[in-house]
Amino acid sequence: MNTLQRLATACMLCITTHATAQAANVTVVISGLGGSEEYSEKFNQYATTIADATRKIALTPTDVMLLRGDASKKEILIALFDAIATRTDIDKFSAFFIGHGSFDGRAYKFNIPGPDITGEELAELLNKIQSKQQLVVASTSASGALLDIIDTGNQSTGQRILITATKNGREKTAVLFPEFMVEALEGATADTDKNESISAAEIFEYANRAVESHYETEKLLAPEHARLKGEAAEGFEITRYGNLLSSQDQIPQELISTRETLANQLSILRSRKEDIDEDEYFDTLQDLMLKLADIQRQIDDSSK
Amino acid sequence: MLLDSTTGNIVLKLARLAAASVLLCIPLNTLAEEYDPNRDDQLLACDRVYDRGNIDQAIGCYTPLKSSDSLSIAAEATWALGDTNKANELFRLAVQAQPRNPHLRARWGRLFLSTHQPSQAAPLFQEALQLDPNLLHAKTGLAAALLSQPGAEARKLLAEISIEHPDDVETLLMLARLELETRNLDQADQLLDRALTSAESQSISPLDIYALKASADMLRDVEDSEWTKKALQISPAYGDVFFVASHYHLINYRYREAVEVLRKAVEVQETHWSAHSQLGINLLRLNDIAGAKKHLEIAYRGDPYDTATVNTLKLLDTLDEFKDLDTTAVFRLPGDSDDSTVPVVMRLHRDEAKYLSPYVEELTLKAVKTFSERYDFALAEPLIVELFPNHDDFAVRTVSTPGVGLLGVTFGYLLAMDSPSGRAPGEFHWGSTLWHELAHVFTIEKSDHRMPRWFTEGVSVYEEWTTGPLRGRHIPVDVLQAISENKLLPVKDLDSGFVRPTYPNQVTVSYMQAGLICEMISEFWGHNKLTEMLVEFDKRKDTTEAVRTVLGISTTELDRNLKQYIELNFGKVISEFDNWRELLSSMHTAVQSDQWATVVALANQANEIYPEYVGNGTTYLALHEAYESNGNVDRAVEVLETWFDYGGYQPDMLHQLAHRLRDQGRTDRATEVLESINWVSPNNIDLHERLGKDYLNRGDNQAAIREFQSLLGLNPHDKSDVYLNLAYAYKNLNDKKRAKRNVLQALELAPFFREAQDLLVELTGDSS
Repeated sequence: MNTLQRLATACMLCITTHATAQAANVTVVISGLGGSEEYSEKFNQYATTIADATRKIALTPTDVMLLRGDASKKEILIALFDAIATRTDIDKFSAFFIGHGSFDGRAYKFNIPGPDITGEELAELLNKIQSKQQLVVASTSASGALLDIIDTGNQSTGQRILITATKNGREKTAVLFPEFMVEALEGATADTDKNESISAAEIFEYANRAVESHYETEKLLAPEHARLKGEAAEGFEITRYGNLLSSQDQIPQELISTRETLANQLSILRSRKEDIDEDEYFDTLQDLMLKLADIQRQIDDSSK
Repeated sequence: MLLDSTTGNIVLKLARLAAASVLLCIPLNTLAEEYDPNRDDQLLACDRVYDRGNIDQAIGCYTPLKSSDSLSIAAEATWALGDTNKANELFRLAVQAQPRNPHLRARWGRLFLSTHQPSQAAPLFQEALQLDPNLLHAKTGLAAALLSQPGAEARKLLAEISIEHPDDVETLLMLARLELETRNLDQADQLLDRALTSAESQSISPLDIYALKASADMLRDVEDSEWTKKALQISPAYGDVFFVASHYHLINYRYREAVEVLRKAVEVQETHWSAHSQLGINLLRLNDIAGAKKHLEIAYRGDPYDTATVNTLKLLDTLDEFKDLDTTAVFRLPGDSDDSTVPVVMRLHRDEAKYLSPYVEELTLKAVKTFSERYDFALAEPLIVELFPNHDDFAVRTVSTPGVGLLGVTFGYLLAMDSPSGRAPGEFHWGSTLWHELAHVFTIEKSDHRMPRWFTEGVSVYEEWTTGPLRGRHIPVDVLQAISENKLLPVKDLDSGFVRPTYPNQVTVSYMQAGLICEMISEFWGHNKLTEMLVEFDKRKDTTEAVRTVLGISTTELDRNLKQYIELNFGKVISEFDNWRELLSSMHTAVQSDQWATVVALANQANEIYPEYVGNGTTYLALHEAYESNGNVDRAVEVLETWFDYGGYQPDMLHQLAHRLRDQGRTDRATEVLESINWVSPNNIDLHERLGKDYLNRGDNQAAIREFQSLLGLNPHDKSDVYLNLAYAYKNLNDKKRAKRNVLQALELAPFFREAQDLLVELTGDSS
């Protein structure tokens, strides 16, 4: 059995998993209190863009919920999360918090109309959700404080990824991170693996670099340092573009499955790179990539 | 530090040798005891025992004096036995007890001199002189402290002392050292002879005089100096006779020879910590890292206060973060029909090795090829090129102390310099610095390290101007001012402008003067005369002899020629210097208040006087701003191009120029401008991405590969795109194997990258 065959065997489970994965993909985007017209406008615009982007991969448009203005009040948030918590069909759940956060040395608070919601309260709401995977993006000042509050370990609710715009609660100035995160969702630039799908890892990487580069260019000390915590951010899809998006209904599922299988075989091969002779590694990679190129061509043909 | 019978002689010698040189470029401070006319008789008796080399007996002599009722005697004995901390405390108490005693303060100052702290010593000497303006011991101490600083103060003070006290041995010794540094051997000998007579009449130990006599012999290439033998006859463990001499090898770039002499110093006196330290530092300059470490550790164990030792040991730890990248330089000597090769090691910090190495390699290989031919010299050993991203590490590598303003230094076959990331973008043109240092390798090695300082610097500056990556003379305003004020030195004394500058910017002035002399020699007599002069220096000829033999004129005539050459090239700006500077100043005032018409008028007037000036405050950037403000983009681009052509290299302005040129559709010119940024500020992702694509588009695949490889070293956001471009470049070069490997690396990162998939299919011929 050559390396490619071994990879194919190792990936049987991946095919099965994917073949049954037709569950819901639910997203909640919350735009907090702006405090000024400028910020309110920006936060609403970011939140809208995120909601629009995530809607592209939702089974139904109603699986994406955008809360802004008075709709982001604490009691409404609690009611919404309680309602979502009753669902058992959720595969992936995402929550985006856009706005200002504060940290007084003890408690993180997300600024919303009426009483603010604390980090602990947010964690409680998120823990209620039953999904295989969760993504929490806290794109606010001081959001790093959540790194100690929102658990990314083994959840009863599934695997969780947490992205914060700052590294701790002490980074309190208004953050640039959401601006670049939104930019990442709008085009192909953030899609470094060029699969026409933008993952949580890719938006984080793009926005993080853009923030760093901004402060470097301006010759300023960076007041924000984003963090990503949790496993499998690479595989957590947030939005799509290109053929994959425009023709997703026309592409035979079998091709999509085969493409996923090959991608998974590649992941396994890459993880074994250090253990394989270099030439053998690239020979195997070549075989795999030629197969993938062929499938890709069939996908492209089917969408014409 | 406690004294016991096993460590006694070690600490004793530490104290007795405490006057060791602090830095390479600093002359030795003096051994204090012998020149203290008020030294207590009990201490003098012990000194004499030590001078005869009876170490154990000397310990036995000093030890009881530690408990003397006299705080000053106790301090001196404690110091002699090596416990400088305790001695410092005792001096402090002694000065508190007798605040009006100038001698005590002078002695305390000497303790600081002995522990490598001249800046702490100087105020104590000054306090002593306030109490007694005639105290010779304080005056000479102050002169010794001032010798560690740039400027002419020490020399001035020594001149004053020598008038008042013409027979003072210590003063004569310091003056002799200064003469030796500038190779005025006859004058040094005369001073030392006077010192010998004086020492004899005052029963002062002649050991220090012998050491300098031996140094003068060494500078005359006398193999076995009688003075060394005489010194060792008196005191067989007198390591200073070698250690002092090593200093003169070092300031003449003769590191290999210095190492040999320093080995002798530690051989006769294994507890000569300063010699161990210098031996370690100089072994490092010869790339013997293990040997360096060994001697530096010995030095540290014996004298943990020597900052040079401590700094260099710390540097050795950081060398673990560096990668050695090997390559081979190809060259051909004039008249040879075949190429030869020499190994090159690029020692770069691991964080920047990948993006920087393509440029370091390109320039180094080009320099070896160029200079081998121009100077008819084949490198006989591997060339080592070190670039330090941390300027203080480079400074320690260079002079064993952080905070110096150097950019690069060459020790022979090893050169070290700041890496481009070691300074703010645009602060220096690293390509020119590397070119300058590489030229040194050839002048130093061809002359067997015998050329005078002015000549090696002059050739390097001249090569920077004529063959380096940044063409054109770059002469700072203050140098023009010095020229206009007739501050240039006669060529035969030009080395002193580097070694013992007497005014703040004299080193820079001397660099430029040396560069102009070499340029003039090349222009008036022909480039080969520079090579011939190196041959003369190798034959141990000095400047006067070499100039006469090769150029057939005296150095005085050469000086006259230089004056004419400067008149020819800079006559206008020199004669109108004040007016030119006033125009620049008024122009900048007009810039501040947005008076753009005035800016243009003043800048144009200034450019009529000196159009080549692109240094600080250049007219061209002001003109650019003026035209931009008026919306005259074409003129703005034009003046930036002129600035670029004269050698302007501010990276942000170059980026702006390239951008504008691209807007005008002048892609090739834009590429030329962008390429120049690589030699100033290569740490820029956009630069390599743009340049790589430009080169790929115009079919310069090798240059494209260099750019994309460098880009990968900067960890760009989308590496798959870079690998794909590399694959295209290799494909264009018909290197299918590398093309395939790179396209696979692209796909490894971005498996769904259609363009890469297509190229892979094309390269493998798989169309299934």
